[in-house]
Amino acid sequence: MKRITIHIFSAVLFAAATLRADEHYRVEQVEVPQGIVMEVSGMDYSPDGVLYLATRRGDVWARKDGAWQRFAHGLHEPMGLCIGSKGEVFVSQRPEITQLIDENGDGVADLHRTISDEFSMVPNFHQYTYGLVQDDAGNLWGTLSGSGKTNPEGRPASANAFSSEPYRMWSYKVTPEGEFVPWSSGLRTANGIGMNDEGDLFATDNQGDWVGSSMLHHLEQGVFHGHPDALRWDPRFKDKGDPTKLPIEELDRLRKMPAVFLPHGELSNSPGAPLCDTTRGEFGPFAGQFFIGDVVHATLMRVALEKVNGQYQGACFPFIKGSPQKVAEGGEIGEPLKAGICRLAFAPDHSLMIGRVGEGNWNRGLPGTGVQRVVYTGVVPFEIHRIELQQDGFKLHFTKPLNPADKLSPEQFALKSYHYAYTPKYGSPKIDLKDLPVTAVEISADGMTAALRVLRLEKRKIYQFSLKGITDASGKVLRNVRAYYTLNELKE
Amino acid sequence: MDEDSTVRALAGKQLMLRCATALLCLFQPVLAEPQVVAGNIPEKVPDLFTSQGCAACHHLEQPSIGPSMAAVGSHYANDPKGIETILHSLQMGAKGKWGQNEMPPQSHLTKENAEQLAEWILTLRKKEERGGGAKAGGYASEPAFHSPLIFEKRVGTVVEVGDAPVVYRVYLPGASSRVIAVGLPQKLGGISYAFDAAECRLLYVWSGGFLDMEKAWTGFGGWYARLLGAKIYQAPNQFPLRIGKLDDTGKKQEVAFKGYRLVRGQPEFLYQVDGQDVTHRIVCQAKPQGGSVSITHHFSLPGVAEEVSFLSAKEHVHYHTEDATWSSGVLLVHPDKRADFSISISINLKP
Repeated sequence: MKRITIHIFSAVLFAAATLRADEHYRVEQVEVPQGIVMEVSGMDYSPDGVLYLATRRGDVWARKDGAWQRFAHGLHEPMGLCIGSKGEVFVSQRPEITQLIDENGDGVADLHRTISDEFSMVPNFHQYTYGLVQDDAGNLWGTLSGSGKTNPEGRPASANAFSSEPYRMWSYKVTPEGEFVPWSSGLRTANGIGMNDEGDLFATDNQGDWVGSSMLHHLEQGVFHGHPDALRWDPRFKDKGDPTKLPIEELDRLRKMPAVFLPHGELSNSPGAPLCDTTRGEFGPFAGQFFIGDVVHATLMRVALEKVNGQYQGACFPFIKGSPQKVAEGGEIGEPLKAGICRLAFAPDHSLMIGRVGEGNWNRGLPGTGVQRVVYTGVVPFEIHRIELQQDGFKLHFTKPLNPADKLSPEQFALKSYHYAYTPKYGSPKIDLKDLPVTAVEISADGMTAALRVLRLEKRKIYQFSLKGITDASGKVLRNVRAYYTLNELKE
Repeated sequence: MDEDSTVRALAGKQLMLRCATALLCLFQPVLAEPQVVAGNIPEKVPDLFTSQGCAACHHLEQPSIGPSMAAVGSHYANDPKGIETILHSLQMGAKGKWGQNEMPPQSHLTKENAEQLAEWILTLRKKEERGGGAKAGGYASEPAFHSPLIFEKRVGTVVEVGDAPVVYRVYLPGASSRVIAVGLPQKLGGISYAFDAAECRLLYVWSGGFLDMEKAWTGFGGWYARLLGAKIYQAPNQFPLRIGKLDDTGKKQEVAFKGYRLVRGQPEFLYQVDGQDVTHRIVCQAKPQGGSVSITHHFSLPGVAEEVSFLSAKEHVHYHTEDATWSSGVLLVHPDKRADFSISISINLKP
C-alpha cells in the first residue's frame, strides 16, 4: 500500500503543470521520466529538434516529441554536452571528451568514442570537466575546474581551489583531430561555457578564493583570469616558484578583468552556463544577449555586453527570480522558477529550456524535478535593454519608449559604485561602496534612451543602478529596476 | 475505493504536494517502506535555505564546507543563547566554531529571513539524537524503482545489474582515474570487472553486487564508488599484450584508449598499441558445475604483421587457449591467429 501510494504521489508531482504566469514570461515544469534523479549538467538540441540532456549521474537522455529515451548511461559525471554541426553528440565527462554515436539507429549510443583525454584528473569532488560548445571550425571548448581539499573520505574540507594537475583551472580547446589545447588560465571553477553570436567564447566563474564575486569571463588565448594557482602550468611562470606567492599587485596587473561581475548574493552565488539569445526576437527583445542561471539562487540573469576599446564589458540584470524576493520597488518579478539552474538551451519553439543540477546546490536533485522552461508570451516587457558607456556617463536603452508625460529627474536614477577585493580570501564584500550623483538626465526624442551624466567614472568599478518611478507610455512601471555595469575600460 | 482514488480524494493539491515531498524525503535510500519517525526531522527544507545560498556550504545531515544543520541544531538545542549565537554568526560571519572554514557575513539576509533560518535550524537534531533513523533530505536518493527506460536497478545510491550489462565510468579503488566498471547479468556470468582506460587492460574482477555510488553521487561527489562484492581476481600489474619480438618485452609500449563500443550491451574496448588498432572483448561464463567462471579475452588486431604475445607468467590462474602456445613464460600467438585470438582464464568465485 505504502509503496503504491508513493508512486501515485510521484505521478502527481511530475505531471506537467503550468506555473504562475507572468505577463511576459511563463515558467513551466517539464515532465521528466518518473522516479529518476535528473541532475542536469549538459543540454543541447540536435538539428532535428531532439533535446539531449546529460546528468551528473552519468545518463544522457533524449527527448523527442515529449517522449524520453535514455541515449547513454555510465558516463563519469559529465558536466557538459553539445550537439555538433552535423548532429554529433559530444559530452565532457571527468576523464575525457567523448562522442556518443548511435551506429545502428536504435536511439541508443553504441560507440563511446574518446576524442581527447590529454588532461590530468584525480578523484576530487571539485575536479569537474565543464563544457561544452563547438565553434564553426569544429573545435570543442570547455573548462577544467580546480581541486578542493578533501578529508580522507573524499568529502570537502575546503572550497578554496588549487590546480593540482595540468591543466586544472584552464579553459581548453579540443580540435576535430583530438588535440587538447590549453587556452586561458586562472578560472577557479568555471561551470559553464557559451559563445556569443560573433563566435567569441565566455565562461562563468564561481565566487570563492581570488574570485570576489561570480563573474563572466571572455576567454582569449593565453590570458590569465585571476586564480594564480593555474599559472604553475603556464610556461611563462615556469621558474617563478609558487605563483600564489607572487605579489597581489603583480597578479592584479596580469589578470584580464571579467567582462561582467555577477553580484554575489543579489544575483548569483554559483552561475551556470551562459547562453546567447539566438532566437532573433522570438524570445523577446534581447537577441544577442546572454542568459545565465544560478545553481544556488532561483534566478535567471541577463547580460548585455558592449565593446569598449576592443574589450567586452557591460551590464547584468535580474531576468526572472523564483523566490519571492522584491526587486527594489519594482515589485516582484518572481515566478516559481527553481534553483539549481546549470544549463540552458533554446528549444526549436524558441522557449528557453532550463536544466537544473539540484535543489540549490550540486547533488540535491529530487526525482522528477530537473527541467523547467520559460516561454515568451509575446508581450514585450518594459526593461532596460542595455547600458552603453558614454564619456561622461551611461546611456540606458529601453525596450519601449519612456512615458513622455513623466518629467524624469536625476534622483530617479540612483547610482552607486564599488568593487570586489582581489585576494586569496573566499569571496568579498562590496568594497568602497558609495553613492554617485547623477547630475543630469537626457531623454532621447524617441523616448528609447536616457543618458545619465556622472561626474567622474573610474576603471575597474561596478556601477549599480536602481531606478525609481520609471514608466512606459502606458504608465506601466519598469519590470526590473536593477542593473550592474562592470566598467573596465573608459570610453575614449 | 481503490488506492488511486483514495489519494485523489485528499483535500487540496497543495497538501498532496507537501505530503509527497515529505514522504519522499523520509525514505531510507535502500528501504522502500517509510519509517516511524520521532520528530525533529527536517522534513521540508525551507525555501530560504536554498534561495539564500545556505545550501552552498551546508548540508542537512553531513558536514560539508560548513557544519551540518542538524549538528548546529543539536549543539545549541539547550542553549538559551542559541538563537542569538546563530543569528550573530549569520549576520557577522563566523570562524573557528566548526573547523577552519570561515563563514562570511550573510549580509544579504534580511533580519526576518535570518531569524526564520535560525529558528528552523534550532528545530533540527542529529540523527543519533532523534531515533527512528529515517534519512532526511540532505541529498536526494532515487526511491527504489525499476523504470522500463533504464535496465539497471538503482536503489538509493546502490546500482544493481538487471537483465542487461551495465557499464559505469566512476573512480574505483585500486585503479587509475580513468576506469570503467562493467556489471554482467547472471546469464552472462553474473560478475563485475574493472577495465582501466588509461592502461587499457583488465584490472580486477569481483563477484557479489555491483556498485554503491554514494560518494560519487552525493555530497559534492567526485569520489570512489564502493565495490559491492569481493575481488575474485586481480590481474598482474602490467599491460599484457606485446606486439613485436619477445626480446622487446622490456620496451615501453604506447597505449592510447579510443573508447568502447557496446555490442548487445557488452563493451568492446578500443585502443591502440604503438599505433596498432586493438579491439578487446571480455566475455565471462559461469562454469556449469558452479564455483568458478571463465573469463575470455578476445583480441582483434586487424592487419598486424609482427609477432604477438600475451604476458601471463606470474599469474596463479589456469589459462586456456588454442590460439597460442607457451614460449619462454608467455603465450605466443600463432602467426595465423595474430589478427584474431582468444585467451581464457578460469577463476574461482570464492575470493
